[in-house]
Amino acid sequence: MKVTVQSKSGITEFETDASDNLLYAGLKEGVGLPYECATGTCGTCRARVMEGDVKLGWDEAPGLAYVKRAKNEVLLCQAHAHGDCVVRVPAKVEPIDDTTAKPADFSGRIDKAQRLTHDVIHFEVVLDRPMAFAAGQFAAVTCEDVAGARAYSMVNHADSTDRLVFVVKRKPGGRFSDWLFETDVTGKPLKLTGPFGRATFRPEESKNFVCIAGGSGVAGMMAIAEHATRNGYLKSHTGHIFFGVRTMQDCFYTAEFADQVRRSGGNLEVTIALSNEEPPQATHPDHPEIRLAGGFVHEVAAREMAGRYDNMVGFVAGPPPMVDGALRMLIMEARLPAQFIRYDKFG
Amino acid sequence: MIDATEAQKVLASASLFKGLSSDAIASIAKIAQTKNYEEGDDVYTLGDPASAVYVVVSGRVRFSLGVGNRASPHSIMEAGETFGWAALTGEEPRRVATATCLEDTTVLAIGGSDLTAYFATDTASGYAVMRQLADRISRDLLSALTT
Repeated sequence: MKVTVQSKSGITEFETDASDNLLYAGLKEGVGLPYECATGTCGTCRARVMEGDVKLGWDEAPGLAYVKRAKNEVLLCQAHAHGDCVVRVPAKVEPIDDTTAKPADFSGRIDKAQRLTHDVIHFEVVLDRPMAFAAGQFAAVTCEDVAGARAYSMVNHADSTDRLVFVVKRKPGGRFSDWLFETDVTGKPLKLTGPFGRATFRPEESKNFVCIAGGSGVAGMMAIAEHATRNGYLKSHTGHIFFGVRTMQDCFYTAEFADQVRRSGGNLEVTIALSNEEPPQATHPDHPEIRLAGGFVHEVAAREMAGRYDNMVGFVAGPPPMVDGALRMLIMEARLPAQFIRYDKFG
Repeated sequence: MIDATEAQKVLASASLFKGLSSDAIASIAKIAQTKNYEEGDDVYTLGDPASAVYVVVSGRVRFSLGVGNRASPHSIMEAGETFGWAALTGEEPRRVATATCLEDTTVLAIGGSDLTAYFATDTASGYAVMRQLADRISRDLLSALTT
């Protein structure tokens, strides 16, 4: 089936079948359709169906709050073509450049799952073939037992790997996280599509970086730190990671961060911010490479980073109020230009 | 372009200017500029200087504070609603949100410094607007804490 896209850049065409949603089908063909979450939440891939039969997959997608169905508006990430169609996208749609990995479908199997805290679980997926992705990107993950895809950032990073590592914080009523926590998931098959996301670490920019993360938002920051320590980037740049949790009991990945600090040659600083209790001491009791501080993570970052924003790119991920606070800090205090503030739009 | 009568009608219906006298509304209408946007255009994006406050005349604007995925009805602005009030606060304010038109949209743009200069000459109106603003900031904070 042929999909014709009318946009502010002109007209583009790509082929699809009914099994793929229009967003994934277009991105796989190198058509740079607008998106953020890719899983029906943010509403960024809104479009209007001008001709043809297009049906929505997940009729209750939260992002549908941003569309007017009476005007034939859809979310491309939830829309499936049932014949040739024409859609109008209110944005520029340019070809994806050749240096960016295009998303593709993968099959995988959960190889390992491990609870890190009472409400955080780490799991690793072995893919049917390697995936190339940038640090900070995410994949859309589906399992047979739960409807709909979930977007999770990769914790690990390699130029190409058949093992993806994810970390998930349990959400009240979250069907996928309930499935992970209440089922023996080891060996379970998954479908994955990816990589997605533009909140990526780009070594060619040659910038120092500050990462501000809350809870499982630390996933992408782990990948950035891994990339930066592995390729020698931190020999000539500095990295600052601020990881917010409520209490010492909620800390995770501390051994991994300590290892990254050791490998960085002194140019990576990792600070864990405790919002609900005072830190017992200035550094982590088991990993003295990691600093401890009290307060909300964006406030701790503002305090510790004051006057140190030279040649900086900022990454933010976590619960919405934390992200809002961190963005305000990076804009109003750090005065970073918008193109050097990167965050994913899923909460 | 909308005429002065319609501009005054739109401003009088905006919650931010609720209760102002017709003279005050007429004065604000004089410093307001009509701006038209096509569907998909950004009125402003994250990090832009916050120079004006906007009142929607027609159309729909999606207002995304930081993370844009909160499907709150307050995140879509329709006729009579006001956004971009950061222009009335602080020195050299910058946008911490993105405002995108979901359809062809017309707004009244009121320069933040022009408006505060007017309020310096009409402090009763300035006080009423700042009370409305304080209420809105309070509601936003509460919403952020309970999201």
